[in-house]
Amino acid sequence: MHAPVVFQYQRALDAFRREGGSPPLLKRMSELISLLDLTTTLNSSLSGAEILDAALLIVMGQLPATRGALFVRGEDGGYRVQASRGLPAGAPAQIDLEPLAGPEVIFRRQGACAEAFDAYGLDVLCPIFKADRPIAVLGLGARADGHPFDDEEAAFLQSVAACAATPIENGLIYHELKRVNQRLSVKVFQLHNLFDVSRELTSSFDDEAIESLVTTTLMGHLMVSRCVLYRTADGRLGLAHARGVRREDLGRAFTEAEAQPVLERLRAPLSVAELPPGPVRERLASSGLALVVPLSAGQNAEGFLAVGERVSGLPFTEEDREFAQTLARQAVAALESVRLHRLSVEQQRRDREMQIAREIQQSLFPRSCPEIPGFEVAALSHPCQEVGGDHYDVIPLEGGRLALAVADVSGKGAPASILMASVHASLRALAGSSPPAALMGRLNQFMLASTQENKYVTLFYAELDPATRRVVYVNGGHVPPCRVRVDGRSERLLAGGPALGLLAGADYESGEAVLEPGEVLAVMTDGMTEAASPEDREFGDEGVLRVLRAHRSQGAQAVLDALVRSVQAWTGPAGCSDDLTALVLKAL
Amino acid sequence: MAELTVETRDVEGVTLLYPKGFINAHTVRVFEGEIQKALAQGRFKIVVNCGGLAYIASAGLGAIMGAIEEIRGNGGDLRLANLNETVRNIFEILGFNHLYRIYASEVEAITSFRRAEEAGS
Repeated sequence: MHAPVVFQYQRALDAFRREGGSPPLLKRMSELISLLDLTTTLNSSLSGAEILDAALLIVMGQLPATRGALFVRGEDGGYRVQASRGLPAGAPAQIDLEPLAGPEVIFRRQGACAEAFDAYGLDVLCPIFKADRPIAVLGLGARADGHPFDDEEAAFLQSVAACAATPIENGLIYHELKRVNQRLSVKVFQLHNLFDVSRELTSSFDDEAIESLVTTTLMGHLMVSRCVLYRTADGRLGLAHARGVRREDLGRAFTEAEAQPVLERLRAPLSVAELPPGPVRERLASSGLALVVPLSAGQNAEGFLAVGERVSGLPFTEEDREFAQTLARQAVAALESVRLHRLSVEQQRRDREMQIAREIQQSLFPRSCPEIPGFEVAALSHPCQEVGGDHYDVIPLEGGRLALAVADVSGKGAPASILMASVHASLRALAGSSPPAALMGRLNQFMLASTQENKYVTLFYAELDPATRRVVYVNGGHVPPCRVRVDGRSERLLAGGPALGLLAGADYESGEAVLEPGEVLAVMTDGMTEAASPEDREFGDEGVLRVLRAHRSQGAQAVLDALVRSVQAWTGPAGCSDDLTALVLKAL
Repeated sequence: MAELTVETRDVEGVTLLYPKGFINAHTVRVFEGEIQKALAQGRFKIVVNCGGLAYIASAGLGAIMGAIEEIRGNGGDLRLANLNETVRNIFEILGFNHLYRIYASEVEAITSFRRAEEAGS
């Protein structure tokens, strides 16, 4: 410890005094002892703040002065009080000084640095230089013995400055190192947290869990006790998550007009005061929120996180803002992946529904066409990607007769296939029970009663008596079937009425045709006649007739195959956009 | 093995939480759940004994921050005891030690509540 060494010199001084040593010399010795005391103190193992404090006290004791302050120059050039005694109440913690020319002591009476002298009630300032650069200033108030400061004191103070410069600078460097180290530790902790959170976010599958995690992490890191998360949905900006804030205070969603100016402004974290004025800013401010961090995937923010002031009262640092922004980006990515996951689940659900619709549709087709003397029947329905509402049926009637039906329900998917199922059931129940025209009337009434307004069915229905070769048919708004005679002449079966389910009390008329051996009758749906070529030209009635004429000498199945092949060739690799359904009746 | 377990105990009206393991983004819900359970039961004097706590991430500190206004608003406090070096460093890095009272041992933390009561009565 330094006390014994100083003590020995002090004893020598005492002896010198007893022997009548001259006072100026005694004073000089005393100053040298103080400097020795100071130097040993400055080199001691005390902490930085304690060293500065001890140094100040040594100088104040030596002069003596009742008021003193040690200012240390900061990075911004201002001088901050690091140690002080007896300063007037309300003295500022920091002050700017005019540039200091050199290490010469400045007296109050010289007029320089008047602001500092006044603010702290000082009489003398002693700059402490380290290699041409001021690093600190020692200031003292009036001497307790009433003497003014003179050149002797100035010399002592300059000696003090020379001794103190290096230890003070070391202290500053140590301080700076500690600060850098602290910032580094915060960064490391931030990285740990971001890693921790991102791992958890990628395994989260609901919005609530993500929002909860992001808000707690942000609160813990920034040391805030309030955090809210707003997200836009359908144009409105609504509260998705709140902690430390009463939900009722923030409950109502903001309209698009209210939210838009704020979201456009939010490119980076902003303080609430920096937001454009309006209801969003007002409500955030009144709930004690201070910093707003955008949640943005691309250009525009789709919401934000807002946190309250730090509980410590310290301002948010650049690191805080960076951390919040990085966390917000991760949250957006996680929320987006949840949304995509939901979409894919939704798509799977639609696919399943479509699969069910297809199964219903397929189950309604007859397993095989009945054998009838003198005729051949072939039919097929070829589904496209989406399940449409095509249907055909062949129903044996009493007396060897046969009912033939081809229908097309409006719409697609499950609703269409369910409607088709009811048409199928009605046809099966009613076929042969009354003449075809009357039967169509009844089906129309049934459809009107049981379906929605915008749903309808086109139906071609015919009854064939193989004994007389006579076909009685009704065309309910369906694509007119084609009849091709042996000599190649053709005709369309048009007699009937409107599609089923459109007009209450619609009248249906029936038509007749007697099919001579070799004649072909083909009933299609519009998926075949409207099939488009890559140049967007329809296959049309002409296409159908061309195939029928070319293949009319062949059997029903061969004609049907030719039709389907021709349509597929017509549409090319793009395929059909609608179901392909056709029924071919061939008189032998 | 679970990453975090939190046992609780009541001593002289003080709720003690014993987190064991890591409080991170994954496990924070367990920890927060125990704090919220205490609050729901009207218990606002809480001591977190960190003896078994190996690490605490921001999410865990956030859980404490999120509850502290309610706790102090109801005349209670959340105090910490028995921190290991790692956890103490984290608290100091972020300045958490200035916002919360930290005790060397659980007993000291519990008696700190009692002393406040005696002083108040």
